[in-house]
Amino acid sequence: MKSSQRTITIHINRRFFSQLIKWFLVFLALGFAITFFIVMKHLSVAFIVSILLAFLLEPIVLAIENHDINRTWSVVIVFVSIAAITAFGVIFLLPGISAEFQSISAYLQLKPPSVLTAELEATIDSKFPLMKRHGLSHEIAVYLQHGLDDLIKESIDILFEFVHIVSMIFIVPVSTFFLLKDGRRIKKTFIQCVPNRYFEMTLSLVHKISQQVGSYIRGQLLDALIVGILSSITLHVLHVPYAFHIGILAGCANIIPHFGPIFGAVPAIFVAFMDTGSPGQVIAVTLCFVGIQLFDYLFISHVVVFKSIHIHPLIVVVVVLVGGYLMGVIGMFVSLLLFSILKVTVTEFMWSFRHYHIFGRPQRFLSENRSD
Amino acid sequence: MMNGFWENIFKKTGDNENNVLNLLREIPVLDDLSKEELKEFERIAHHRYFEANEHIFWEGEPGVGMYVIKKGAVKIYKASADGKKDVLAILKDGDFFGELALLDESPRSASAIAMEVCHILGFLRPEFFSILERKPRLGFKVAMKLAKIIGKRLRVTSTELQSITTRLHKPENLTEMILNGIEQSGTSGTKEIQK
Repeated sequence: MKSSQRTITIHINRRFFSQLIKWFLVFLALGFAITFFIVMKHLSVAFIVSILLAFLLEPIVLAIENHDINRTWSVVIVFVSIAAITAFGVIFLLPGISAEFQSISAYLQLKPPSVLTAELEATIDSKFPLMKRHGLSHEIAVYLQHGLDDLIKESIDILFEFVHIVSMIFIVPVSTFFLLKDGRRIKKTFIQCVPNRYFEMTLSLVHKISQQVGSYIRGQLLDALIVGILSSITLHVLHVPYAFHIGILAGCANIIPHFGPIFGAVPAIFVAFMDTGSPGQVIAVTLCFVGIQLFDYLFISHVVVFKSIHIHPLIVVVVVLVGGYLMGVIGMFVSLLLFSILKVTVTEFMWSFRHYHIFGRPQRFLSENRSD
Repeated sequence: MMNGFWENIFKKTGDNENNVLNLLREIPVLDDLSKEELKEFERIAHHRYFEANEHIFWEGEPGVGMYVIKKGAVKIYKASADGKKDVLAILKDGDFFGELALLDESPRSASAIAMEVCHILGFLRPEFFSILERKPRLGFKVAMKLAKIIGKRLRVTSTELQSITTRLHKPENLTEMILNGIEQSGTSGTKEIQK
């Protein structure tokens, strides 16, 4: 019997080999980026803030560009304007705001959460004896104390992060400047790395994501600004102390869908109650907040925010709750934005899978042929 | 047989320099633009390199933009029901294709494949629209040019359609056309029909 010897010739396809190297480099870059984001957490935060600011300022830069001014000068004009507004704020508004801020911090330092809740319990007992009889006032006070303790812990964490952001106060403007100036070139360079087969699809996807993210961020901030201004004016008219700060807080909290308005209203109601102890004042503040929220819900947020992301309100609630569970307050702020990016990406991929020759013949053609 | 829709009836004669600006000036959609305006389009041009027999796009895919051949040759074809490829045009250096996709996402009416190693410039709709938004005057110029091209191509296609219809209405022409079609497809039944 002859032992049959087979010679196996391996033909290395040059194109396959170069594709393999390309994908290896892509995964290597992706791994490096993820590692960089984990290790350099604070630098990542600064970078994300820069991206958000770039999205926010893009329409203003475009508006200036429309007057036949080149991109670099348009960005410079925007930055000089922001610097001028900031300087004006520091010179004319800061003294008043800092005095109010000192007053708040002094008040909080003098009265820790336990004292504050004890005072609240006593006020509720004197105003609503019926609640004392059923122990409701004590339960409210205990619940509020837990809430305050958690809020202070969260605030300290956020302040700790904030200190890092302040320490990078020069990084954010510089990176925002270059993102605005060279954003298109960066996008183009990224798309240049994409293989020909996915080129059109990727460009379309990047465009749709940036459109959605941009409109969502701008919508949310416009919404927050309107709610903040309305809240401040209303509280000022009702003679509630720290109206300006509570207004800012209500505006910021409004970024959290559905839950934000509650977070914004609670401090206002609490301060109004502690200041006068009058149920009438509390009811007036509550009604004003309900009115502002109704106005916001019917005329602002649905037009400028939710219209751009097309997500069912029930899903919004679940997404915000999951975000809060995973990442606390920050999670509640960014969860819907991240979810909307994910939604656009998945939707576009599914659409591309049906319409482009990504994995051979598109599904659409196959289904059409079947129906034939 | 070349198709009137795909032939570059607007293509100018002249030297094709290896300069992107000059190449862009050769495209009818952009031939009225000043140097500064052309630079806007140069900034959004994507330089893509295709190997021989690599598809640039497929028939039926959503159109995302137009392409200009800087170097190389591209075949435009339609796949028939029996799997054959009907060649509509062979495009070379300086030629452009897919410009109607600058306007909307309607499916590509034919496939484009590189016949050799190609260097192609891609102009895609999202970036094209962003220029039109930023520079409305420039946008008007380009949109008018596109409208003229569509109008001209529609007239050429209508003329072709009219000539085909006229020939179809004469029985002797119809027989001739069928025979020509059979001869071109190389079917063995040609002689039998001629008898």
